Amino acid sequence: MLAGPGKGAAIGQRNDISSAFPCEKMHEAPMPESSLVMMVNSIGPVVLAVLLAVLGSSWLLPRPRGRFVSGGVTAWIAAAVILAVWSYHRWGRPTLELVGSVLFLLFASAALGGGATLVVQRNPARGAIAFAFAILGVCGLFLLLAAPFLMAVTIIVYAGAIIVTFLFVLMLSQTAGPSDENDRSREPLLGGLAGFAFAGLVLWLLHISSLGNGSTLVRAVEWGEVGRQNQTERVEGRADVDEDREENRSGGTTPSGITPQTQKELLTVLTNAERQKLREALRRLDHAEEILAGDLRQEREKRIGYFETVKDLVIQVVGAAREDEMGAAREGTLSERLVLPVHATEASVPLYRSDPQVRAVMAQVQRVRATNWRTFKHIESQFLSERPEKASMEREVQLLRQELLVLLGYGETPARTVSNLGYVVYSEYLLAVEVVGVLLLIATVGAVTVAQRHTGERE
Amino acid sequence: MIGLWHFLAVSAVLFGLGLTGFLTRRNLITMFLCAELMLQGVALNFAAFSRFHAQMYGQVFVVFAVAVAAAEAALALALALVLYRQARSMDVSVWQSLREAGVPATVDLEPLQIPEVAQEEEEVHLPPAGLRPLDSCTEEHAGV
Repeated sequence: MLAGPGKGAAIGQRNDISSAFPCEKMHEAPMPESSLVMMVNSIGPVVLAVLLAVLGSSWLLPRPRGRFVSGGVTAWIAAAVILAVWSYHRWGRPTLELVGSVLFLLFASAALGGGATLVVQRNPARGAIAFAFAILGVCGLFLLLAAPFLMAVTIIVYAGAIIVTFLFVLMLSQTAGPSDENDRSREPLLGGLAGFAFAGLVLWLLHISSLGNGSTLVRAVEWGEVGRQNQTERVEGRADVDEDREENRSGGTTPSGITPQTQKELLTVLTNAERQKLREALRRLDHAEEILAGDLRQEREKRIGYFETVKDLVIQVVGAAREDEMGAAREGTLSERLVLPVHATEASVPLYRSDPQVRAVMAQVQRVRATNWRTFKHIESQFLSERPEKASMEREVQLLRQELLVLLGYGETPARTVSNLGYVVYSEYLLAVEVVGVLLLIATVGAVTVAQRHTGERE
Repeated sequence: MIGLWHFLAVSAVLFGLGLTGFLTRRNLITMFLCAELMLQGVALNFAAFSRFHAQMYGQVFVVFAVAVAAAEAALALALALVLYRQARSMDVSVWQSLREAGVPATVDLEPLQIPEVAQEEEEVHLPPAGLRPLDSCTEEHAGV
């Protein structure tokens, strides 16, 4: 279904980032007279999907007679396909990361299919099994979201809950033949309308807020995709990256700032701004082949300038290796944010972290610093020499690229999020943990109290 | 690439499905499971925002939500058990006498379709050990 247009997009994406966001370009242009038509065009599929889903649910929900199963299933599948195609065209091309996309589709369809089966299944025992599949799908999505701890917790808690529910079904709800509770629904049409109209409204809201019309929240959560384009233009237009940095700080595209000393910002290893810079550097290293093509003895300044931009981008994040010609050694934003400054007096100690994750990150920062310095020096000296060696320069570029990827990975590796989660829970939310523990205890006692048989009459 | 919006869309549809089921189904246990489905949609939302803000707060929220959901599950199932003891049915409409004043009662007009029980074939009865069988097969044998 998705393979045809995706291939073309994959080729286009590599050369031109902006071509992957045609909708944003389209909606950014102010066209008030045709905005209603555009809105209908863009949101029409969602309305259609919601109507189909309501129709399907009114056919599929249990009722004594006149249940139209094949029609309902067809309507739901049509609604799901319409929604999938719509979100595919609206929010990017999922075929770029093939494995991730396939897993996402698999888990999402397991979650939605399980949920749908639970809603329309007459037999509550089968409904419980379908719910288990929905939970497994959601757990897969949790894994894709780098939340392995949540996956484990959900499986453990809900597996227990489902087994208990299953026992309840077996004990209480085993009725021979049709029964009121399993074969009737309250207001299938209106109930379906309520549920799916809600889902459609949320999707419409997502659609509106993802247009990228100046909301900092939206820009922050987009992995910096919109901001990255702006930054590319800016960096290419100017040699002085310091100015760029200032502009970034005041521009509002990076709400996380550069030197935040708030506890909130400490807990993220890489802020969105740093991520953007590293990704931009990586993108440029990926395209280094084009710069290293042709006769290397010509246009030396331009080629060196290309790599200098990469060096400056990396330096902004990790700092400079030693005092270079330009001036004093610079601390990168990472160490400014995460590490206790050497000159901090007792009164002005800012917040800092000393957990293993930060130590690992800072070790990698040292490596990136050294590699960055060496790579740039090597490339510069090669370009300035009589016979530049293309192979050795490419090797150095590859080395820097690998170190950068590892550094990016420290902010993203799922295995590290578990310890990070523990750090947050037991440092900031200790009181909440205690409260939840008490709540669980009360709930247990309450459940026992509610469920016990009252023997007061006998005494 | 799979972005934040795809996860949000999935969680919205999950919540909508759970809402539909909770509003329309009449079995207490199915209603309970549908409520859990809604909770999963919300949890997915939190986790997605947590991932795409590169912060842990969303996951912390989900951890607490799961803990509260466990407490809720214990109480809900205990309540279902008590209700079943009172009415001998898992049907929530049994309890519609608790509805607000002035709201008309729901009456099930459509009769349930009781499937016709197929005529069971006569099962073969084994004779008790030690007794002479008295069925037709023994008569055949006697005839031989």
